Amino acid sequence: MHLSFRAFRWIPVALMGVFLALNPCATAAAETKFQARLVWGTDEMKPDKANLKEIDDKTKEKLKAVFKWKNYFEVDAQTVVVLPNELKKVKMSNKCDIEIQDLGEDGFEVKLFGEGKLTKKVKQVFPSGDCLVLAGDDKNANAWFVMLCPAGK
Amino acid sequence: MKTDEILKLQAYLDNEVSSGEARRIATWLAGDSEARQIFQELKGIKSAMADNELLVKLPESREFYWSKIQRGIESAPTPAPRPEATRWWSRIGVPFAAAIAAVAVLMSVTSFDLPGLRLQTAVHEIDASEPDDGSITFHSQSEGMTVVWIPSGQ
Repeated sequence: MHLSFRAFRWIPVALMGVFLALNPCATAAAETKFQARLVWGTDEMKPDKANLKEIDDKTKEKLKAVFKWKNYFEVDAQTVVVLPNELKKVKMSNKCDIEIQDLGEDGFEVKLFGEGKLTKKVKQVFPSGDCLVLAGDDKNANAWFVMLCPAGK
Repeated sequence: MKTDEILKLQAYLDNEVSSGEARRIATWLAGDSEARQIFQELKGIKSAMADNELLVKLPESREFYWSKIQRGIESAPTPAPRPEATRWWSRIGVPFAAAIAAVAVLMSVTSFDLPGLRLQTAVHEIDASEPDDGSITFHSQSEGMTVVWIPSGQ
């Protein structure tokens, strides 16, 4: 029986098509999603503030493994989508803003603003989905945390 | 006389030695009659061979000689075709392997930019751009977080 294998000749073409479809050099680069959270850490019980909610157990354990505070409450949480070369501004609270910029191969530049003033600028390539945590102490021995984690991590 | 000494004399005769070596051999020849005799024999053989080299002439014209070679090449039997199984396997396998190799090379020299994939393969780097602003940066491998601690007052 004579078989025609002309169809197999398209396999390399198909493989190259799949590669090109996935390769950002040939197609538009993909967006990046982050979960941005403003967290308040304290040794006290939950204050009577309406805008605070319990943080999820997983994140709480991660923070407790690194920081000394017993309790952590979420002030704000947002999913941030950053397009290539886009500068994304995110308002976390009345006093706290962040800017995230995709620098391509160089990672992301994250700027933290406190009351409108640039407080910290960090360039970060997120390894293995790790989170970037910008943190500082607050009055009454409390602390604040701006957590920036790749979405789904 | 040893063989390597004779070879040295032959090299000296053929101008295949350095100038320093040539001076040493010339001094040696001046003081060694046996070496001088062998050198003269080698010199004679060389001149004799060069002067009496036989010219080989073709018994036919130049064009006819090369046309015979050309006809021989053209009339050579063509290689037998390979079995059918080998042919279709090579038709599929070679392009397939080439495509796989090309994809592998491209993947190794470029970086996929799928969000999840890039985040998993990127090299860790943090750049605190402000010079000595009092902040402390550390990385917790176990908890998967990079912390930048900013003291109050900033």
